[in-house]
Amino acid sequence: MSSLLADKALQKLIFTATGQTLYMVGLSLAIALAVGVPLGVLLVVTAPGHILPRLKLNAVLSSIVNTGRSIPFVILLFLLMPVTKLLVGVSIGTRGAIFPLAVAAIPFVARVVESSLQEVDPGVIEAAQSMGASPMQIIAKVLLPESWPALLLGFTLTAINLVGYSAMAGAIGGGGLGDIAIRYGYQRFRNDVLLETVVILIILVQITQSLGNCLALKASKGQRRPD
Amino acid sequence: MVEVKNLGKEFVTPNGKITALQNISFAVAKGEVFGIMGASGAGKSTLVRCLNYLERPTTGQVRIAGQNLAELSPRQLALVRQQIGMIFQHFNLLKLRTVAQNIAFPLEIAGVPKEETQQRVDELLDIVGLTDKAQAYPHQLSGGQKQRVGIARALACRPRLLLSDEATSALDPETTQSILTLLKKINRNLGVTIILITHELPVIRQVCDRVGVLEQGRLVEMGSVTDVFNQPHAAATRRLITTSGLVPPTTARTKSAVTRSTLAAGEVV
Repeated sequence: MSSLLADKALQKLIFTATGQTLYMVGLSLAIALAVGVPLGVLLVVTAPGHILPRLKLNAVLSSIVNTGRSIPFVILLFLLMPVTKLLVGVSIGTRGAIFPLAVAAIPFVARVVESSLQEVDPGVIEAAQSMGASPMQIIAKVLLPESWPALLLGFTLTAINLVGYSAMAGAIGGGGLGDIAIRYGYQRFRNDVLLETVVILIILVQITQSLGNCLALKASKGQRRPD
Repeated sequence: MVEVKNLGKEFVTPNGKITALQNISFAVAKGEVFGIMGASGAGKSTLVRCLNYLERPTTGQVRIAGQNLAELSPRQLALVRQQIGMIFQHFNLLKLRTVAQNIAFPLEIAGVPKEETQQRVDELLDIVGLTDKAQAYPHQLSGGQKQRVGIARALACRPRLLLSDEATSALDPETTQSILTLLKKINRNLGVTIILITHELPVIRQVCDRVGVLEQGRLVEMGSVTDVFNQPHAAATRRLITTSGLVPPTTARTKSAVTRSTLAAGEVV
């Protein structure tokens, strides 16, 4: 009887944790896109031979992105604690985890955007230039729309990576499914809890990937991939 | 319409400087169809890109309707470019836009209001004969249809000059014919000056009034199509004519007869 009650409490905990995971992933993804997309666009257009070649800026941005990508997330969580505290007011808990999650995803998003935009046919960019399009018009009307299906798939990938990263947020008391899995499932030998959190994570990832695939397919207008 | 004076273009590569174009001068009159022919690597593509400053010449000047392109601000250059249509060998259409949206693209860039754009797109679809394909996507079209979209798009802002960069080189002979007929029609009916570059000599014979021959970045010969094809002076011209299988006729004929008879020969080849 008492075990059943405990389980009820635990179910509630898992439910809350699912919400925390979604909250952390959703908000950090939004921030990462807001910063990472312009950064990725800059990486592409400032490259040699592109529409706004700025070689020094390009080299600096590229090395910043590489540095960001080479720091393991668990380490980043602790490294960023003072900055998080300054920006968010707290450096722990679910809210404290969002900032480091976003920071970890920004360079990833930037590279995803970069590789997607690089796939745009240079001939199409040249055609737009021949029509008198400005660099901003080329970005807004050619580069981003033409690579939209690839971008959607890349953003899906980012979201799924963030689900994985968010599991580590438990290390700073961030909560979420990963935290429950470790504290209740692993440390208290509750294999059923461990299993349940894993199943929920699988479902979340499946839904995200299917949604991303579906949107990307719709956006590709029947265009066969790869082109 | 177009004046090119002492134009030169150098590219700086890790292996040193490469001279792509040297001392090129020519003028194209309003309403004329001017061809530039030459073998691969002669500098044709670079030259045509210098005409709208997609490539900035290293030396010399390009004047379009009297305006020296070198003196224009980026904004002014954009406005001049809107008055110059350009078509490409590989069409360069936006693959996620419909035919109608592709044709509307330059109008969008020029800031033309929506209703006017819609009306203009309908006119253009009619001119190139693609009204029934307005809602199709480029991947659903044949090569010839794609180039028709390219032509409609190039004409959208009512340009006075059309640049054609190997526009028929990716098309089969029959489709090439229909595209050339369309270009000729556009030149006659709309009075658009056309500069076309190609390595296909039959194309030059069929649609150009005058032709320049480019070899290793130099303009080695220039004249009326009849003269250049019948009495080629430069060795490069003779080579081009021989290798393309077009033998200069030995007997003198009237201009139109010459054009037509040798055209047929070119088609077979």
